[in-house]
Amino acid sequence: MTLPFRRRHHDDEGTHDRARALWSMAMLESLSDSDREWLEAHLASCAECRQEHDAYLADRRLLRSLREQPPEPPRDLWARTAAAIEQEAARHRRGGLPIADRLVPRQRRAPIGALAGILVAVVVLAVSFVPQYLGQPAGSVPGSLTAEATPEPGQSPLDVITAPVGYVASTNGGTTYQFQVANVDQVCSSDKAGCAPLTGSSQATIQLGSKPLALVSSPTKAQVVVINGAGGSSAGSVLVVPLTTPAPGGSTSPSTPPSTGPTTRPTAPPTASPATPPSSGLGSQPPSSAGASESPVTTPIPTPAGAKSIADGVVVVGEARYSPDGRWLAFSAAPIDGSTGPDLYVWNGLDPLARRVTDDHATYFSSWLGDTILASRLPADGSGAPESSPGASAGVTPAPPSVTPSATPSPSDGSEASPASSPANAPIVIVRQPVSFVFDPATGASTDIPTPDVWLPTVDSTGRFVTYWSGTVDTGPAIPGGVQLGVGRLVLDGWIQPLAGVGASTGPSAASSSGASSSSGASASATPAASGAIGPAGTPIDLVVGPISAFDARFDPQGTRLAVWVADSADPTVGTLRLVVLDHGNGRINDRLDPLPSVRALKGISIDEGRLAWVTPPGQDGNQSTVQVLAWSGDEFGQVQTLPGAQLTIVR
Amino acid sequence: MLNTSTPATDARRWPATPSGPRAGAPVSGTWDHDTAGAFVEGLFARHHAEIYAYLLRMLRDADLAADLTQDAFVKAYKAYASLQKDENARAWLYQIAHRVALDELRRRRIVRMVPLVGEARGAAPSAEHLSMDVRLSGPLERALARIPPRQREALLLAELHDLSGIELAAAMGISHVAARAILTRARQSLRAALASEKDAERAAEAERDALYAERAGNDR
Repeated sequence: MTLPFRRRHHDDEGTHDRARALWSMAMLESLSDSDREWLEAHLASCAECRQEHDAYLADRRLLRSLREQPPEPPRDLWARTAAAIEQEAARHRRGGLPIADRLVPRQRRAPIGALAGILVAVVVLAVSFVPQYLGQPAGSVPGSLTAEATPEPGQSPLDVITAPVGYVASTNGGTTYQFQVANVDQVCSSDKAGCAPLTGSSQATIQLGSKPLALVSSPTKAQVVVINGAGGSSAGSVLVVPLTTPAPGGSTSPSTPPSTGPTTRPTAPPTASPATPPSSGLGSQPPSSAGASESPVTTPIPTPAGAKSIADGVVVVGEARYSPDGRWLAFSAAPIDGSTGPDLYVWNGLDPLARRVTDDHATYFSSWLGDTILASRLPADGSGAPESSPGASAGVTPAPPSVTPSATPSPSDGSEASPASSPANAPIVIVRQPVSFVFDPATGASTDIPTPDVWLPTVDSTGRFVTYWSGTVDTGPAIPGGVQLGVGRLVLDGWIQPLAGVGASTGPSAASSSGASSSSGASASATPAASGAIGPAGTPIDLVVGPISAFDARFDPQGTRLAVWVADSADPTVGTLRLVVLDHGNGRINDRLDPLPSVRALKGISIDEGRLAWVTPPGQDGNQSTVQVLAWSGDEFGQVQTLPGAQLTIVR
Repeated sequence: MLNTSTPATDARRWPATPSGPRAGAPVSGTWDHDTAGAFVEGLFARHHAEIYAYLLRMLRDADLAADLTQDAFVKAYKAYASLQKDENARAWLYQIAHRVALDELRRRRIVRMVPLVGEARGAAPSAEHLSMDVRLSGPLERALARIPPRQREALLLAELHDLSGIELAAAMGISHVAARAILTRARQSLRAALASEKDAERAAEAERDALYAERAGNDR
């Protein structure tokens, strides 16, 4: 049995995977005749495979060389073991107690219960996205397999209760998007063959100039935030779209007429209502990036009904997220013209525009920690001398030591590298040491996390674990997008937070302390959290060891599942997704449960109550993307997918 | 009674193989301490060095490996009745050692995960740890340390401890097919880890060279 010879063997990775599996098996035990013949034929036809096979054999020889230096066990090992066995036998003869697990006491480790983390608000998400669709059977597509039709043994569908999955799909080639909501109530084991395709119910039609960069839903699912990229007719805007008819006298701004282009709105200085964040010393400046009144784009473009723009002329960098209570939206954004790096913005749901709360032009939103924001910044002075980044890009030449961070940001790249000191044509990579901080949008107070080199931390909702990039961050004109992970690793760590920290600092009375963080929120100010150390416990476990260019790591609402997405270095919109299972009973990573070992996924994953959703990259041969959902009930996992669609984007 | 005296001169002269393996002994039920003791004594004599080596390579901690070797043999003594056939004793022993190692790896994760309050117990690596790290610092050892524990385990058991596919599956408590699959993944992981170790070594070398060159320049 031979497979047809392939001239381009990249056409079929499966063939090579089979070859690899077979030669690996052959190193363990003898192959069947047919397998051996197939493997020989394959190796004969594939020079690359022969090379790889040789490399495996060499590895094996190297591995086996360890036999030549066997470690010497301690001399007293038998005496100790015999004593322990004797003790055991004696206990048994006495008809004694259940046998203790460890007979000879060893140095005991610390007790598990000594936790320093505190509980922050536990996120309870409404399961009923749109109640009338809950009862609807998921699969009604003709011709598709259904769970009932193929009751194969070992493939019985798993009933789950999860948060609904929201996504948009383009219906007319790119400008009209259907907002779909799918309820997941049955999933199937690994190969998904037993389950009907997941189908969404159309909730709304959204007119967009181009595929949105990201879609973010509020916790109550009442509105969705559409983040547009730098291209297209609605470029550089952040739109808030109500998903249901706005309640009369509701919180939506009456000042925004529907169906007019967001780019034509005049600059409206934020009102000084008590609900807005205090100015933090920035109030004197107009929210420049949000009020792009000078924008030349005046052609009205179709917008979703009731949509309003809370920021124009900016490109959102990284994630945008609602606070768990839905009161705030936070994101970081840079001017669309690239004149500076990103700053942190918050929007309180009432103001016409999002408010910029930092002005160091190097602040990146990461996640919410209860009522406060975790963000990271790249201090211009931090790491001093620029270095060439190893492996960041071919042909990187070391920067001359004379390069010093300039006080005025370079207009070309958004980093603080002074263009005057860059040698011509030399792509400079500046290695930065990130600093992360906690920002309270209600008071404007910020507290630095003392641990150095923490970038984009995310804490689980129980306040027990944190995941972050532990390492440096590269910036510079040579880097697409201006920022990229440097040397380091993506880690999971314990999280330490003083009891008075999160959640205790809300309230309007704290407004008077806002002056403390007058510029960029750089210095720790008088929040309760400042009285004790806040930050990672310093006992990290590697999740991914660099070099990687970008990542997205998110906990589920229970904090027991961690989705880790790592971007490809060649194309940061595509990456690899994995799900790590954490056991909160004992704080372990569960090695046995590996429900999602590395799948391909587009940027923009969504993890929520009971499920993880992502979009598969479109295939090379014209295959369209699908929305994939991994859902769980206890420690059981299953998967279901939609039919292929165009321009799918998950709503986070 | 077990012989607890250890010949100090020759580490290889361990207690003798038990004279009569429990031929025809009941598989379960009554459980003769002396028979079990003698049997485990024989097992220890034949296999303790490889079990110790396996645990050392899994955990990279000499003291811990010794402790866990002891644990494994005590467990073997306790579980003597569960051994179906004496021919399988070696694979059965690896199965026990596998569980002991996995338990320890999990426990270690807790300890490292959970922030400790007050005293900084376990925060700094012990001297033993450091010395181990020096000793196991070859690129191969480092590459092995980087691949997932179960893959590392499969590789070690298959390549260094000569377990067959079926024995490997039994030791790891998985199916034969799963054992093959994990071994295939393990070889791929090792390939990648070795490649990046080599890269890192080259980079470090280049850095050293640059440093020396710079120093030489400064001295001049």
